[in-house]
Amino acid sequence: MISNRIYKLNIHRQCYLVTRHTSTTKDTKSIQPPNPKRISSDMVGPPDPVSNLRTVIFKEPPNESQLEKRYRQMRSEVQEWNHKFWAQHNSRFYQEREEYVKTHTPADKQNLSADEMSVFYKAFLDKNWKLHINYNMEWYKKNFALLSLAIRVKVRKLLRLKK
Amino acid sequence: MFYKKVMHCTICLKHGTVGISGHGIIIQQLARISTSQCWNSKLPLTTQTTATVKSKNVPQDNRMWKETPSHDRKNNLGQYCMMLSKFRLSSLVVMSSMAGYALAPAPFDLTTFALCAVGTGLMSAAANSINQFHEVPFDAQMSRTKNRVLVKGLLEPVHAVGFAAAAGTTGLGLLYFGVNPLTAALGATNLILYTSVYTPMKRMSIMNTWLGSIVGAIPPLMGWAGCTGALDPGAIVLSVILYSWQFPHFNALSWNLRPDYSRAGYRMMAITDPALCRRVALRHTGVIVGTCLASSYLEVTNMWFALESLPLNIYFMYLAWQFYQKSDSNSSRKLFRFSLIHLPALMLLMLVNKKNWYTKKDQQDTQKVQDINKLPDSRISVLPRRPVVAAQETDTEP
Repeated sequence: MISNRIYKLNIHRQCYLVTRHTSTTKDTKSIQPPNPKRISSDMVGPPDPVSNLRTVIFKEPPNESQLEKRYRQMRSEVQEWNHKFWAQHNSRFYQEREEYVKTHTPADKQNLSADEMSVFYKAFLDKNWKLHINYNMEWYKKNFALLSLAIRVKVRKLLRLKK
Repeated sequence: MFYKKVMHCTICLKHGTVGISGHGIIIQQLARISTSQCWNSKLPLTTQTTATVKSKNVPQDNRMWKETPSHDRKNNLGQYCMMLSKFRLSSLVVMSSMAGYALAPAPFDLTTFALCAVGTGLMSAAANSINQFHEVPFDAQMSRTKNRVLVKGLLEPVHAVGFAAAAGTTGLGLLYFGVNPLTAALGATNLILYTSVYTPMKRMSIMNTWLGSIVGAIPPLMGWAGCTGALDPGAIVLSVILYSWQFPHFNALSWNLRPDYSRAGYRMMAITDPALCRRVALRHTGVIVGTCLASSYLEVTNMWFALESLPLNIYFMYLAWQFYQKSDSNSSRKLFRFSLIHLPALMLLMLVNKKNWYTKKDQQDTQKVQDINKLPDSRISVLPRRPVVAAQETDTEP
C-alpha cells in the first residue's frame, strides 16, 4: 500500500515526482480539520468509523455576538456528547456480537444464520432499553434547545440584514 | 483495494493518451492511484485531473470537508425538498387520499379533489421533515438512512423545521379553507400522531407499528371526508385495507434490517418477537382479503371487485405465507416488493369498480340512486364516463 503521497511539481513544464513523509504542506493541512477562524462557513466532515456521526467544525467569526457564541458552543457540546455516546454504544455492540458469535457458533459452521443472530439482537436491544430511553429524552431536550437558539440566531441575522 | 487500483490504472491508460508527454501519463496514473488510495484511506484528493470529471455540468465534489449547509442550496432546493418530504412515501400517501376521495359517495369536484391531494401531500411532507429533524443521529447509524439530507449536513436542522412549518401551515390552510374543517382536523391529527407519538415510540415499544398503521389509514379518511364532508361507514373499508397493508409491508421491510435496527435502538417486532412479526403480517393479509369481499357487500364497490381483487389478495397472502414459513431474506424481500405493487393496484381496482358515480344531478334525484342500489350486482357502475366529469364542469360553481 502506498502510504506516502505523491506530488506533482510543475517546473518549466517538466514534471518531477516528489514523495513526502511529513505533513507540513498546504495539502496536508486539508487533511486536518479546518481552522475554525479561517473558514468562511461551517464545514462538515466524513462519518466517523465508530460513531457513524459526522463532525462539524463551526466557524468562529471575529465579530460573533453573545447569542451566536452560545449557539456555537452548544452545538459543539451536543456534537461531542452524541459522538461519545454512539462511539461507546457501537463498540459495545460489535464487541458483544463478536463474543456471541464465538460462543454460539458450532465447530462445523462458519457463521450463524439470521434467526440465530436475532436472539442476540433481541437481547442487546432489551439490555439497552433503559439506556436508550434516557438517551432519547436527553437528545430531544438538546435538539429542541438547539432549535430555539438557531431560530433566534437566524431571526437576529435577518433583522440585522434588514437594517 | 488492489483491484480498484488496477481498474484505475486501466482507465487512466485509456484516458491518458491525449497529447501529454510520456512522462506525464505516468504521473497522471500515479496521481490517480494515489488519489484513489487517498480516497479509500480518507485523505483528500490532492491531485485531481480534469479528465476524471464524469458528469459534464457538475464537477464531482470529493472533498472530505464540505460546507454545511451546502453552498449550492439554491440550485438543489427542489431536490432537497423532495428528500426532506420523503417524496415517494408522500406520493403513496397522496394516492391513498385521492382514492378515498374518489371512492366517496358524493359528487366529484375537481377543485376540491386537487386541493385535498395537494393539502395531504404538504402535510405528509411536513410530517416527514419533522421526523428527519428528530432522528438525525439514528439515521446516521443505519445504512438505509445515512444519506439523508440532515445526516450529510446538506441542510441544517432549522431548515428542515422551517420547511415543515411552511408546508404544514400551507397544507392545513388549503385543507381548511379549500376542502373542509374535518379533513383539516384529520390532517392535523395525523401530523401530530406521526411526529410526536410514532417517532419517539419507535424507540420505546413495538406498539409503534400499530400506531404507525393508524397513521397510514388516516389519509383515505381525509380524502373521503373531503368529498362527502363526513365519515360514513363505507370510509372504514379503505382505511382498514390501508391499516392492514402496513403490516406485511413494514414487517417484511424490517426483517432484513434487524442488525441495523438493533444497533440503532429501534424496537421492532422483527427483532423482539420474530414469530409475532411473521404471524401479524400473515394475519393482516387475511384481513385484506376479507375487507375486499366486505366492501362489495357494503356497496362501496360492486360485486366484480370481489372477484377481481381475489387473485391479487390471494397472491399477497401466499407471499405472506411463504414469509411465515421460510422467514428468510428472500421471502421477506418478495413480500415487501409485492406490497408496493399491491396497494396501487388494489386502489385502482376499487376506483374502477366503484358502486356508483355521483353527479350533482343525482343528488337531487335520490329516487334514481335508490333504484340503482336495489339491483344487487348491477353493472351500472363502470369506469367514470367523460360526460360525468364534463357535466360537473359545465355546472356553475356556487
